Amino acid sequence: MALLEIDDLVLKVRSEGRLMPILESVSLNIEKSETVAIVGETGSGKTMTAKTVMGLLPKTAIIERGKVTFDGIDLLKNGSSEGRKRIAMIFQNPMSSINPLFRVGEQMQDVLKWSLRREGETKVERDKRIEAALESVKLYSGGQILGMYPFQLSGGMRQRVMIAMALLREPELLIADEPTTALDVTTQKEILDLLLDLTRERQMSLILITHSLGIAHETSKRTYVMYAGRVVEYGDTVRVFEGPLHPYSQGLISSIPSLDRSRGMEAIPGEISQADRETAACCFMSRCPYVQDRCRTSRPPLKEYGQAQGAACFVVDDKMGR
Amino acid sequence: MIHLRPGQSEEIRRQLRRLTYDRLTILGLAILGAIVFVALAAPLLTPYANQVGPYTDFTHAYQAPSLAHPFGTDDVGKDVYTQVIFGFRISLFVALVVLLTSAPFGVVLGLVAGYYGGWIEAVLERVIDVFLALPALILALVITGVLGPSLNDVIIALISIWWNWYARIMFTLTKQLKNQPYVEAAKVQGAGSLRIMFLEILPNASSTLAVKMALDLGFIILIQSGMGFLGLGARPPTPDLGVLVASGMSYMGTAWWISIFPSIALSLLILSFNLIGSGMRDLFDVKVT
Amino acid sequence: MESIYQLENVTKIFEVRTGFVKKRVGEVRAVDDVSFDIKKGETFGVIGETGSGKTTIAKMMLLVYKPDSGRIIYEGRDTSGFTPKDKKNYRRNVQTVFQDPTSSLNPRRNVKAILEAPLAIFHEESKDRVHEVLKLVNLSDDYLYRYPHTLSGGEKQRVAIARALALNPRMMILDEPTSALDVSVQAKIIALLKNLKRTTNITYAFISHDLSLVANFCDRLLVILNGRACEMGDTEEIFRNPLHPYTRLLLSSVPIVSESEERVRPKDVPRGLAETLVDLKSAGCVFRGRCWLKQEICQTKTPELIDKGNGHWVACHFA
Repeated sequence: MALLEIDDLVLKVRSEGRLMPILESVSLNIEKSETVAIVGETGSGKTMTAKTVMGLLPKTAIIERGKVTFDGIDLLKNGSSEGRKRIAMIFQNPMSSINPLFRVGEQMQDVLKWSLRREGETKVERDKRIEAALESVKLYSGGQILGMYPFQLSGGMRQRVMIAMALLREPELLIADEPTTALDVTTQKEILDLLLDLTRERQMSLILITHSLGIAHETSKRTYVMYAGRVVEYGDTVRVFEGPLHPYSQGLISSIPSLDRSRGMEAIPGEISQADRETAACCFMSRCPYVQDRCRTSRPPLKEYGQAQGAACFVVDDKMGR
Repeated sequence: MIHLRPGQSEEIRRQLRRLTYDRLTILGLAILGAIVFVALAAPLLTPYANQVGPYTDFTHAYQAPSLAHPFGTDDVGKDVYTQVIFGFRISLFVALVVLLTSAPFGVVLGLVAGYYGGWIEAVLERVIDVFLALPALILALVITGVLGPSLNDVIIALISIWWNWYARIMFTLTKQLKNQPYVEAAKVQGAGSLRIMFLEILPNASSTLAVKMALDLGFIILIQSGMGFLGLGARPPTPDLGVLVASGMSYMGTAWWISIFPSIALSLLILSFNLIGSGMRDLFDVKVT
Repeated sequence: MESIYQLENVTKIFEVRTGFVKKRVGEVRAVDDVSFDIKKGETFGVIGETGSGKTTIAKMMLLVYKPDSGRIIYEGRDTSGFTPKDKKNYRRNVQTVFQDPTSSLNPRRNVKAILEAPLAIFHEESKDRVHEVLKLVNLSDDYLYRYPHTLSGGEKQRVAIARALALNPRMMILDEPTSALDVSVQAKIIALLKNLKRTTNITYAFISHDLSLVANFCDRLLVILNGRACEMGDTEEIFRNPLHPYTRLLLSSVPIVSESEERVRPKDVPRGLAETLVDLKSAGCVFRGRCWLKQEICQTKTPELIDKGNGHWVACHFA
């Protein structure tokens, strides 16, 4: 059984009197100690998927259908807090998730005192846990950091603090939503390396949500590609990048600049529109070079084609000979 | 016929639709619309138009509301309904005159001071501090105390107070907006200061200013009729709503209609501006976010 | 090719003031003795991370800041000697596109007004030019009366580019024009910019933190760190033979998606580089906090940009 299983998740949000579709039948799973990347551009639904797992959806969100289970526990039911205690999440902008008004040490103490309370734990014991957490993110001279305010730290250090705070929970699953987007490329590498080291040391699963194909390629074992609120392709990372099945994945990979100038940065024609998000047919039909009549009338189901690689496309389906 | 372009009509339709989401705003608009109509058409809506101004007819005084006099008659025999609808004219007139004089003046001053800073800013700040140190009503009383009570003096007093509000608001907004990237973009394109102030910064303050103006109209009327009530602004026989309310105060027990109807009319007028103003504020807030 | 633009030993210092009385506690050398030149018709890239000074350089090139020392020369003339008339003329010829398309367009004006603005400033006829310029960025006339908040990021940026093109400038300073956009939109904008260059022979100064992007778009590069120039030269040359350790670090940190890209990455860059705080005011190499080749001399002597041949310049004691 997978550690986290999302099955046929349909999410809508009420806005200006209408019900807007956000996620259309999203399914994904992650095993223990596995690193999975969810790749997508703006509006792909990748962050909302994570928020559904963490229970951070806005009041206007409605889960129409679907199951989300963590180690067998249903996360969509009341009383799911037991399951959520074992999952942690870090976000893109550390300045807005760490309270800028309090010192680092105070905040970490608060986390332990209030949400991770252990019976009869003394301040000294808590301090030890905090120090251990900071060490695991390679922030030594722990005492000094604890007394500082977030704005006194560099971007990379703040992100490490956020990871340390997430690690206080000793989570089995860590969801990182664009954790390095606000960082320099050299700092980014350090943070990603750190995350990978941590997953190895702690046998922790990691979901890395990113818009950067490069990051997905370098960090994850498997990759999910999302577009317009749907999963359009998934599979072993190496295979997805060497031989992408779905036209969107192909277009996406061709459009990114390559370090060796071998790719020409081909743009995908058109732009995503609200109609694409709401259509009952294929979400990519308005931009797809292989579009056929049936793509405009019905939705291609997400199908698996052996070796745990799958795509949602009629043309691909034909090619794979099913 | 206003010639609209494709994008424009869509935009306007959307905005108007958003305005109607709020039922209270519609209510405010409806009330104001009715009052404005009544005020404009006043002479046509009453057979007693001749009663406005000096007029007495003691044979018909203190009459309770009836078909002939829907709001009754007052202590000198005038039809209260007629007085009220002509009173609307005064209130609306004063509000518009004060606003249309003080707002542009204050806005321009605030814009220039906020943009250039330096001694202009320093001088303006001091002046505004002086004027706004006291509540508006007190200040108005002081000024009319000096100038002598009359409706015109109330208007002058209000104008001299009100421009300060607009100057201050525009000053703060300008200081915020002048660092916006699109202002920098305009500078980099070679735009001069005048262009930047009036075409880049001012339009972006328009929603805040519009909301303020709507709410201010109500407030101005309140102060002005308050002064009339105290006998320090318009004086009888001018049918100012405040004066009307005051004239019936001593008869509250016996001829309540003399004060009550003008009070209700005044309240409705001010309420309508408040509803519209807060509806506009909600509308613009949503758009900005 | 002749040079159209030069920075000669340009330095810009910002004062750091804290406290209620704004006491001066120190200074930041945002740009420290930087020199480079841009040739007519080329795409010149300035590559740096946060705090590198690249944005300050852009602002100086836009005459928003004045350099504290050094000269900025445009078409042979020193910009510090510009009269207001010269400045206005300069602005006509040197336009810019900012990073965030949302905030660089006035939310209260529609596309037509935004495009007409620069033409109005220079009292030029706008009707035809507005249509022309929209066409250049592949936007139809339907966009004329729309407001920025109804446009997508890519569309907004195209309007910003159209606005910059309105006066037919000779040079465009592109300050991270695609950083705020999705990857697939970025490809379109870059293609658009390349196309424009083909048809108008405009000169670009492209400021970015994205090495892969710069590799595909720029003819020559300047790598800058904490205000100092580290390496400069033809893009192809720098990628084939990166000399400065910082450039090598950048190349090895960029995430890639294919084997062929892997081969471009230097293999000698150690993992887990510690970052020690250095006092940037004193002399010494700006990279000594992280450099693995560091020696005594790096702590005391600031390396100068030296010509290694082929137009390839490096500022390192060991390159």
